[in-house]
Amino acid sequence: MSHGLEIYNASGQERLDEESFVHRLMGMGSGLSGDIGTVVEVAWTGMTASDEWFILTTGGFSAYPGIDRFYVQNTFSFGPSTFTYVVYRR
Amino acid sequence: MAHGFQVLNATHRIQIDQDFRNARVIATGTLAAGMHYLAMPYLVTDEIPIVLLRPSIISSYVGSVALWRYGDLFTGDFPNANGYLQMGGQHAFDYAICTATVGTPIADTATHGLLVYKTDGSIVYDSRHRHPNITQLLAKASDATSSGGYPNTFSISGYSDMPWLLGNPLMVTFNGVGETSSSQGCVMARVNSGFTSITVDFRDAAAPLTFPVFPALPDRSAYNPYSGRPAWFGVSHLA
Repeated sequence: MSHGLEIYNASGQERLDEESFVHRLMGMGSGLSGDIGTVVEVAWTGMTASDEWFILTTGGFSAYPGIDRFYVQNTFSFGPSTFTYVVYRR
Repeated sequence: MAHGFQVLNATHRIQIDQDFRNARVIATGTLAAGMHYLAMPYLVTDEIPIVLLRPSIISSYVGSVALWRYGDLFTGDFPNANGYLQMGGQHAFDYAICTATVGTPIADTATHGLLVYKTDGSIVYDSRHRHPNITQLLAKASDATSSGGYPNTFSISGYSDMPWLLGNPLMVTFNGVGETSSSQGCVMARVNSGFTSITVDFRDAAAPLTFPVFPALPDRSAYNPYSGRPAWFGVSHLA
């Protein structure tokens, strides 16, 4: 390896490879969606729409990252509803 | 960070940063073919777990994931007032639930290793825990057709055995006909031969409630949440 951290547990199993990385919890919260199919924006300073970010939501919603924000879509026909989210960065 | 503990690897990825807590495994197991509903008391908090699914065999679909939290969408008809995780598989499959702040992490009994604390005293990283490592997030560009461009096959690399699939985007869908399971579809994914690609598709979630078939939705447009929207899927190691 050129540099990086390798970690093994007491049994000799590799816990962290020098090429791997664990996932950092950047924050979490909640919001109110629109109707089914509509998208609402959630401001998130520093977010880039790269493959470094992923957003997890409660059931009935999908999410994808943007620039300094991410987007949450209501995928169920129950009308505007509360969603909760978690933001991770790789 | 201005000071403290941070490790960058050879590709300049941050491996560990003392300012941010890392996801670790709090539950894992194996389930039989079909749809399953697991009580998830963690959902009483704001943290949404990372759900990882691993098919037992090549070309077997897993997915239909939803983290139902009491009070978000419904006011009743919950099998567990604390929330539950819905997920399914065409054949037997493994699951792993990962969180950063809630639940009790699965830990080995080592008395040595690396333990990193945040300034508030919470554990950021513990080498006794198991951690997900999502090696690739697989982007699907927006496609305005009703199928959304699915089924879609993504190339993956670096896997010599069955990868874990990021389950959260493999979501339950809803065609708006009624509030019954028979009106649900689902996003599912399979690992293809050689562990070099995965295929994501929309399947009929009603069938596996009685038998594990998971047929493709006839036109994949009953309600396709990814039609006209970008989407991200993922593959992961679990160290």
